[in-house]
Parts: sequence; structure tokens; C-alpha cells
Amino acid sequence: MGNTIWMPQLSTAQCSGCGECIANCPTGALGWIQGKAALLYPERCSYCATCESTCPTGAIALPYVVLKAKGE
Amino acid sequence: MPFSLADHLRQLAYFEGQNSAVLERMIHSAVSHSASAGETLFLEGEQAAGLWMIQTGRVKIYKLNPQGQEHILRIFGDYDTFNDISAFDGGANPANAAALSDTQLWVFPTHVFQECIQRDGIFALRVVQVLSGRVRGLIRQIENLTLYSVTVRVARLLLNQVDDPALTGTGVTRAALAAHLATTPQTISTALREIELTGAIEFDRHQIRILREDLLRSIAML
Ligand code: SF4
Ligand code: SF4
Repeated sequence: MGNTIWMPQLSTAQCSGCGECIANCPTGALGWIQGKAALLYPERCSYCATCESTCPTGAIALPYVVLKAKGE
Repeated sequence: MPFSLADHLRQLAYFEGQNSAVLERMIHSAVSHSASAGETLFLEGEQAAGLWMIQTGRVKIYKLNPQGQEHILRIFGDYDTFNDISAFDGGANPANAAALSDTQLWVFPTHVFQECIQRDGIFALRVVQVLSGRVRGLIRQIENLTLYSVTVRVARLLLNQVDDPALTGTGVTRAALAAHLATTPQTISTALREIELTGAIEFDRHQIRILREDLLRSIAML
């Protein structure tokens, strides 16, 4: 693992604690820490971006890079 | 087979299952109109003549921007009706119409339509249903238009990003992309998925790999 940059980034300040992301995460990677959503099981995360799309406050962000496939 | 306006009308959603009184009143008031290719049928802002129906041919509904550039909103063909809204509210034409081919048309005057609505509850209900269907269609169209343009813009951005490392990496998220393109992360996700389905790109966790740049370029309309 190690590289935490390429993981969903959760902002505790922006999180309202609505639980939408936790309920919608297909892999169960998210959970609660003191009333706020957190990435409890990063190894489960499939980077599907569902949490980012469902969060009503924009508290979750999934960074990405764009690359050319080899041979292109 | 000779043309029968009654048979033609019965195929329109407005008159399905209507009693013959309404149909007869319409047929009686209908004005036939021929237009050759390129001929203007009506202009935006003019008082509407009524509901138009195409017997045969093609008609474009369009708007002009201040520079005079034309933007076609819809193209209609055989059996289609158009300018419904102004026929019912008696207002002005919301856009321009012109024949794309030699076209045979019929116009049903506004006052006859309004009279039938007042007299016949079943016809009035049918009109409401048809108009509701149109509104739903327009909403879908707006959705598609929005999505379409977002997809094009996302494709362009991906091409820029791959050439400029500064535009990609941490901090560059769908949310940021969405703000840049003035839309929502959900729409961005849908657009990305749509592009992925074409085979132009592939997702691998945090990596978006461009598999076929030529295809992505064509999606980006470049
Ligand atoms: S959806 Fe957003 S606001 Fe709600 S708990 Fe998850 S991160 Fe917090
Ligand atoms: S990206 Fe998908 S799998 Fe990962 S935490 Fe969000 S919803 Fe769960």
C-alpha cells in the first residue's frame, strides 16, 4: 500500500456526517470516526468514485492522473 | 391511394380516439400549404397561425444568434406536428421554421383548436397528455445536450491533461474538473463512463489511460 495520495481524500471539516458515502460504498471501505466519515479499510477501496459522486458537501475527492497507454 | 386528411389526422396523437365532431371541425378549418425547399414558413416573434402538420417533406425549426448563425433545434418529417405551443396559447412563434425539402403542409388555426378544447373535455385531456409528453421529451433533450457537451469538454480536458502534467495529479479530482466545466461530479462520472465505453480510455484506479487517442480526439470533436 503505502501511497496514500492515490486514495479517496476525506475532509473532516467539510463532512456533515450524513452517512451517504458509507451507505453507498460498494466495498465497505468507509466507516465512522467520531461522527465523520473515514476511509477505515483503504485496502478494500476499488476507487469506484461512488463516494465522491454521492457526497452532498463535496468532502470526498479522488485524485487521478491521465496517462497515455504504452504503444499510443 | 388518394390523400385523405381524415385518415392522416387519425394517426396523430391529438386525435386518437376522438369523436368525429372534433375531427370534422379540424378538417373543415384546415388550410393547405405547399413550400419549396428553403422556403421560410414563419418567423420567430410573428403571431402564430396555428398548428402545423406535415403531410410530406422535411421542416427545420431554428434560431438565429445575433451574428446571424443558425442553430437548428429540431427537424420534423411526415405526419409530425409543430408549433403546438403557440397554437394553444395563441402567442407568438418561439422560433423560425423553413422547409428543408419540397413540403406539403396543413395549418389548423389557433381559434379552432381553442374552440374544440373548450367544447370537448376528452379532446382537452388528450391535448394535455400530448403536451406533457412534449415537455418530458424536451427535458430529456436538455439532459442529452448537457451530457453531450460535457462529454466533449471532458474529452478535450483529458487530452490537455495528458500533454500537460500540471493539469493532472493530486488535487485534480472529478470535483475540480466539475467546477472547471461548470457541472457536477456525477455528470463528469457519467461522461467519463461514456468515453470509457467507446474504448478510448480505460480506468485503472487513479489512472485514466488513453488507449486510443484518435478516438478520444473524435469524441472531443477535434
Ligand atoms: S457523504 Fe460526505 S458529508 Fe456525508 S458522511 Fe460522507 S463524506 Fe461526510
Ligand atoms: S471510491 Fe468507491 S470503494 Fe472507494 S471508498 Fe469510495 S465508494 Fe468506497
